[in-house]
Amino acid sequence: MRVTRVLHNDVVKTCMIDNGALVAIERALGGVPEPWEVALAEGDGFTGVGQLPPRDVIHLGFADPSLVLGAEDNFSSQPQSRKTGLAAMRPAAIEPFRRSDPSEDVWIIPRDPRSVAVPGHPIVRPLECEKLDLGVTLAVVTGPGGTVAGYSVGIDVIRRDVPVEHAYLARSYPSHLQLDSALCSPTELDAADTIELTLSIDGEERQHCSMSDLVVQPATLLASIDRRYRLAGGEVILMGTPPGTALDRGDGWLTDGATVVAAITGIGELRTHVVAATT
Amino acid sequence: MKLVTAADADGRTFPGIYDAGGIVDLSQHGFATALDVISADASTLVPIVDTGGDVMTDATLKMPLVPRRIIGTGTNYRSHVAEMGGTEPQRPTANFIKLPNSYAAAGDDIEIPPFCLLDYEAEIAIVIGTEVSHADSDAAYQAIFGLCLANDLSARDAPTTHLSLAKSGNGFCPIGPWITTTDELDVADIAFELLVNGELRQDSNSSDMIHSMVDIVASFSHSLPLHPGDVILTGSPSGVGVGQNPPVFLAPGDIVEIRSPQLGTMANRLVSPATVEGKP
Repeated sequence: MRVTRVLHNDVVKTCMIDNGALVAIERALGGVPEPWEVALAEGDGFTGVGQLPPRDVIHLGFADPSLVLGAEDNFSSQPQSRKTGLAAMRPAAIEPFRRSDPSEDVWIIPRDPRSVAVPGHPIVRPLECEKLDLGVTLAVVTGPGGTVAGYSVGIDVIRRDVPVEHAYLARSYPSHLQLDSALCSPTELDAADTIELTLSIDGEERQHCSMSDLVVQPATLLASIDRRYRLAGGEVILMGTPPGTALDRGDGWLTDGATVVAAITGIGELRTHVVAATT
Repeated sequence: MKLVTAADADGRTFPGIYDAGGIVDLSQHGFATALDVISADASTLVPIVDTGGDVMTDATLKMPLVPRRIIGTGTNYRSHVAEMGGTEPQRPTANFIKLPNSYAAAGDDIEIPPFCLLDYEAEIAIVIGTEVSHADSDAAYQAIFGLCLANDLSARDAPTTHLSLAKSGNGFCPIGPWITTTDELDVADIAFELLVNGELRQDSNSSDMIHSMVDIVASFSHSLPLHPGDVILTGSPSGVGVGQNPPVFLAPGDIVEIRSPQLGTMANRLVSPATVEGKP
């Protein structure tokens, strides 16, 4: 099942996408549910209340998260660690308290939720930024208690021109998290070894990797995060991006006008482009 | 000016100006929140500060503002770098943020999660007053509305790869008791200390910072625009619990007090989860 949110006659509505048609859905007792609630429940307990003409809606995307966390170093084929700053250190004072847990080697960095782009909004290159990088990522939307409510395709944009010590700031510029407008139910995802993530820029494939290459799969990573931070429903967790970024290659930074296409098998395809900031 | 957010006996919250005699209610001057005050043109505040107004003496202090976000600077005191066993950063770091559920006020009880090795970190917090990007030192200083105290509570059982999670349990970032505006301060000379159950653990001054507050704001603003209501933690000096020999961690019943002659005093009690009102 695929779910999205739209604005129709100045009213926010959650819709099921059925063979391309938008069907508004409500709770059985009335009221508009959150997209993640519908995706998690596979529509059970919700009622279709009519089809919406595509021309009359504005797509809002499925997510309005209060929290966005991104993983780094979560692909085993990654040639070298992307950890920087404190994440790359192992201070002696806290070393005795470390656990032997693969999920703790995955770097978790927040993004500003305001960096999530409205569907259709391009990637904005800050005027002074000459090293703008990106990667395809599986975006996981949480249910209560760290459960997986749904999946989507994401493009994670990172400034490489800022100091490596500014890991959070480098990942939080407006428009730098692009998400597909549709959220897929967890059951849409097949076995990890059949799922491939790809990203191309102007037709040149830059990333192509199997989801089986993930060091930590979504359910395990969410459980690890939820041990320390109680995840609410509707938050966004990015599973990391595979090898092939401009950082990995040493060249291929984003340029104005570039067309970017990211795809994940069974989940969807996200197409966007790059524009220069106007101020 | 000392900017507060306060609540009256009916539970109504409002921004105010604190002085020893009580609190002047700024909602009577059209300000709904502390952020409204922070974002306002300073010229609109001057006559209010000069003339005052009705003073409330029975209001209670809340978190001085709801931060737009809290960005954390790590490893900004040489003595702390040495006790943790790290290396000094060449530039101010922005490796973690305090997530919203960690925001808390002076006086709040803070629960220690099960199996958590919880540590304190006394810090000075910068409150940004104007939007700023690509700032030089002068613009960076002008963008600072004021300073307050903060406790960057940290779970030491978490790895540095999960730093934002380690520092974002419920209530892990009390800030307060008020925001002192920069016109009343020398930001390069702010003394502060932290005590646990009356025992002095941290004792330092902003003059000991590796990167000054102005340098931090200027550096961050080149990477991402900062906005009114953004809060920046500026690092903690030596004396944290994990740096003791042997390490000591906070326990239910502990009182952590941070005090500064310039920024006031803030105390919080640590509790086990069961004793926090309204929670299991």
